Amino acid sequence: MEKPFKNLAAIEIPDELSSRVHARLNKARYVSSMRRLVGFSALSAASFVSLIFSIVYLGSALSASGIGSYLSLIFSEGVGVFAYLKELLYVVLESLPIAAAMATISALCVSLWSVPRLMRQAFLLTNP
Amino acid sequence: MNQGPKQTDELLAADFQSGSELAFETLVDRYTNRVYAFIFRLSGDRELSEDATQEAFVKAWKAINSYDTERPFRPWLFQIARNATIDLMRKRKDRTFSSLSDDDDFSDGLADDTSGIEEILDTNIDTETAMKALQKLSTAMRAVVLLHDVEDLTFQEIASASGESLNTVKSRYRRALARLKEIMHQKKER
Repeated sequence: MEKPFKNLAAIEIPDELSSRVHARLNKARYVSSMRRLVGFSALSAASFVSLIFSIVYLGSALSASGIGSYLSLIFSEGVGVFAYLKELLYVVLESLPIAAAMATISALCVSLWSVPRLMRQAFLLTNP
Repeated sequence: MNQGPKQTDELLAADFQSGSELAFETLVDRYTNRVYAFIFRLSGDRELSEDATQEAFVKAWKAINSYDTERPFRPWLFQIARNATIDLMRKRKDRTFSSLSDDDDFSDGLADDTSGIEEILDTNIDTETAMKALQKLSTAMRAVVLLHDVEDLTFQEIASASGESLNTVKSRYRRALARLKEIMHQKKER
């Protein structure tokens, strides 16, 4: 099939169109970077606070669990510990404060994920 | 970024997806004028065309990470430009144009009557008149004529980018030409 409209007259392009398009794109990039910066800042701050609280919680849970006394057996009763190593490991695992440990690991992971991204966004905004 | 005398659009898009902002700048430089011309022919409004051109590239920038680099870039970009234009025309409620979203304003009865349109355009009608006739079509019809004739996209590319069936696109194009022929005949008789 022929293309009857293929030879339409050229359209006059406005001056500065290209620079206006680039300026609009830069603005969109800036807005997008700012949104990410705010998001990652909030996430980093929240994860940092969570990390502190979870470490404190983990410390108190560990001391309440009595896990320290089992571990001290390794140094005081070395030979006996090796004889009953399997049993000792079960006892230690049972007394581990799993919830506190999971909370601490989660907060740490979120911090490790968000902080580099926050720094990257800050870098991009300050070095466009 | 891949080096070369002139990279394909698809490679540049892939470069952008890998983190090269410069690749997108190259695409913008390559297509700004063509996208503007397409939008101006579609809308007939200079101010709106400038805004829609900017909007189209911002939308493309936001969407390019989900663009499939195995598919041709141009139909994808022009589909975004078409949608950005229609959105802006809707927002401004510019009623100097015909229906913005569909081609219901035209009966199917004229479907295949396209013979002779080339002669009418070549011999009797200047391009300004052709542009005016184009403006009498619905936006959907006008877009398919411009994408196929001016931007040289295949029906398959247009259909693929718009998510419509090939037959729908072909049928819309034929009806658009039939309608244009009718409009130009009316002008000629006056």
